[in-house]
Amino acid sequence: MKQFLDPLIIAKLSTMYLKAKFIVEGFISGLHSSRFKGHSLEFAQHREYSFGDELKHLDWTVYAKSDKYFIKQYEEETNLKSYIMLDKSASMGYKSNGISKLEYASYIAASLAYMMIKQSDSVGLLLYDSKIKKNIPPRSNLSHLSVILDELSNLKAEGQTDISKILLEFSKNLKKRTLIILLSDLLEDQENIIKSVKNYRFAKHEVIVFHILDKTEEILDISGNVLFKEVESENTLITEPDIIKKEYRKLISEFIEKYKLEFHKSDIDYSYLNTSTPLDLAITNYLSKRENI
Amino acid sequence: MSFLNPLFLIGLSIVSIPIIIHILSRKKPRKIEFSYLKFLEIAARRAIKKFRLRQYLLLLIRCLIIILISLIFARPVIRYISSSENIETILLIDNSYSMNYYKDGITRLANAKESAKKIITLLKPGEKLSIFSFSDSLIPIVKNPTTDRRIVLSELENINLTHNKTDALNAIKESEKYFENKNTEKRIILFSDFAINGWSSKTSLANEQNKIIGIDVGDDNPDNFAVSGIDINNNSIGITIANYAGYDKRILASLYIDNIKYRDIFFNAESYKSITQNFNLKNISNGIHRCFLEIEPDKLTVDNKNFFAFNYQDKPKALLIDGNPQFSEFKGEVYFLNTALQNDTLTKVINYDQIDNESFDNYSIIFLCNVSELSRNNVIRLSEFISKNKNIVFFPGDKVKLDKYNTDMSSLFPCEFSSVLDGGELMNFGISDNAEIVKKVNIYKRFLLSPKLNSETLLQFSDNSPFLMKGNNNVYVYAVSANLIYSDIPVKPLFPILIKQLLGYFSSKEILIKNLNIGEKLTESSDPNISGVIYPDGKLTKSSIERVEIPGIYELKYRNKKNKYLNANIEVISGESDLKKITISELKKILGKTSIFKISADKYFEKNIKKILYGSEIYKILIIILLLLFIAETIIANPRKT
Repeated sequence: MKQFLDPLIIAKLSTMYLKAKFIVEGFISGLHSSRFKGHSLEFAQHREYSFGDELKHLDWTVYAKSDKYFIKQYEEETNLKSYIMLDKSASMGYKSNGISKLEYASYIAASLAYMMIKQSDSVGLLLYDSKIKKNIPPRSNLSHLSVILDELSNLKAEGQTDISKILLEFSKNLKKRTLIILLSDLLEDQENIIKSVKNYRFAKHEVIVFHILDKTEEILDISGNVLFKEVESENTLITEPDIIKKEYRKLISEFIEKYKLEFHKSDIDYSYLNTSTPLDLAITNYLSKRENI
Repeated sequence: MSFLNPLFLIGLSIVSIPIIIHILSRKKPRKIEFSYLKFLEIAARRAIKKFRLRQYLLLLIRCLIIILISLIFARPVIRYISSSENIETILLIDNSYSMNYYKDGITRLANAKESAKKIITLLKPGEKLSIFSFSDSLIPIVKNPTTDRRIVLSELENINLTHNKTDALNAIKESEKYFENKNTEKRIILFSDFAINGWSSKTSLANEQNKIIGIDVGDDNPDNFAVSGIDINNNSIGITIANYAGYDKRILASLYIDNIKYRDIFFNAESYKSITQNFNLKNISNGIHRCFLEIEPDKLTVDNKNFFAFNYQDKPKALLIDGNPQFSEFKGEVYFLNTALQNDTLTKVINYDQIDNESFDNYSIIFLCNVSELSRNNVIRLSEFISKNKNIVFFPGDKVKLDKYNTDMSSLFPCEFSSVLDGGELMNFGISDNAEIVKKVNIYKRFLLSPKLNSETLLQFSDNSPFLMKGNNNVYVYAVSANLIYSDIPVKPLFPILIKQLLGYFSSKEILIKNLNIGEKLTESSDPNISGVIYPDGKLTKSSIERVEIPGIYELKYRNKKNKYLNANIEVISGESDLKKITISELKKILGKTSIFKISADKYFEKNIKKILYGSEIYKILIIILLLLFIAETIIANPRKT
């Protein structure tokens, strides 16, 4: 089933709904049978049937024994409030081949939103570059999913990034304990980003960071004499990647390692993904986190 | 450096090609949009320096490759000395005694001559040559520069070993005077064992422009043992043996007297040290003996022998006549005198009464102490005694009858006994080391001695009156007695000194023996009284000699006095027997600006001397360097992919 979680294959699907469904269902079918249920649809108690309840939740065994209608209640009904914060700045539009970081991030966002709503968790979406561009508050009904997926379908990478500022600004709006899912390339001042993300932990929120880079950004597999132009500014640099490759990879590796180390210290889940990484990893990380909340 | 095919040096101009390629190879950059430049900038800052260094290194190597290829085709030759066509060459051949050192059956001198022959045949036919031998002085062999190799080779054979030490700096300086033309290039080829002693003189070279080629016929680890000194004191002999080897050695030395082996002596000589042994000679007849000491053979035999003439004399017999014998020996006239003479003479004491019964023939010295008067017969006997070149010493005393001494006995004395004076003070008579000893004596009484004609005052009182007088008949007279009546001299430290001094006057008439180094100028050479010289081989010449060249004992014959003996030996003490070689750095320090190239006269000699004379092609080295550069270029141009 892994092949169905390949980002390139997912990209070929027509709608974001299909993409999200495909990823989640593909992921579930690849798991052992009870994992998905076990964590989010755990039986909690019975209650008497009232008008409007879905018939599929009726416990027919109890009815047979007692001739009364009882509805099964599950753990997931204790609603989790989540916010998916997706970086849509120009740098997220970078792609060496295949799909861009933004596309990759949107697939993850869609999948997570799909899964969360299916589990009756409420999920919101925050799109930002240097400013908050879109804020869809968390809800748990199915119609809300289509709102989120529509927004994710029409994303365009533009603007400069200022993640730390956005994180600080947005944290003021959160009253209740919330699961923050941050999707970004985190290509900014590292210290500021770490500090901002840690603030959420201090405020008792849960945080999952998906750090997404393109494969080329990671290994600089470019040759020849190159004039690099930064997408979010007018800065340029002429150099030969073959000469600086070794040093560059070392720097990127240190960059990623630092995030990993600092976030781990503050009990923040951190996943480094590049755009060719299978998408199930993101869902696995989410589920792991969800289990502990 | 020069080139056999200099036209190929034009190839050096294409060294610009890699530079042009390097410049042209810089491609126009293609534009790529990238998300974030910060890491690229940092990486570029760090990596680009290394990259540029590598690029410039690569450029340099490529340029060097082109230069080397051009040079290889141009065939460069390194010249150690100039290759001018106008050269004057002087060959200096060391024939000091250290060149007599044997190795592999031939001497160093023979090796030097063989090497010289090889060089002579290698020199260009038109090149002028002169030859000199040298030790402590320079000796012309072929003085005027010639191109006639036949003469040069023939004269080369006439160079013989000397017994002299080496002075290489003097030889170089002196030889420079024989260069004929000012405008020629001057070259000295010096054949020597380069023993360190040969370069120890303070001579400074006149012309620092000359080139010296040193041909080293010495050994790196030579061993040599030598008789470095013979010291004779009375009948005692001190022998010093030097070990100039890098190991300890038990050395056998044999002493020969008049060509008959007298005794063998073993010396345990430590490495680079000298050892001395002393012993007394016994049971040989009085008089001159021709001796030599010889150690067991080694590689340098010339310093194994030391010649010396030796005048053996038994202790002289002295007769002490006490003119006033006392019951207590201590109070007698001769007690102190006899004690002082014990070490150096064989003495016999008699009273004056016994004089008639004593034969004077057995004695060479007679001491008369406080003898009141002498009979006429005894005056005659004593006169006969001194006529045989023997000695009489008078110590006066209170028994002396002055009227008899000044009349009947006066023929014996160099002075008249005027009167007896009280007190007195001795003058410091040449015993400068013992000035305090002289001052500490007390004179109670003394005789005032009035010198006669032809007499000599040997020692004086401070009022200039004589203390000791000597007549030309070998009669010595003191002004005080030999006991404690006139002075306390006999019990003072001065007394044995005075007696030694007195015995010294007697021996001054002995035969003179002088030590002389080979090559040293003889100071007596111009003495008109020399009637001839007997050489060590026994031959007699009627003329004097200026300097001795062969070790041995020479006898100078004088018309008016006894013969003098010269012990002529090589000057081992100069250090010539120490064959340790001078290092090239020490040599260069000594020679200052004068350049020297030193090569060994070994199996590679011919190859090496050709290199020095005509230079050596270095294309093989250049090819190796070229290959290394190619390898380096390949490695640097294709760094390991990461």
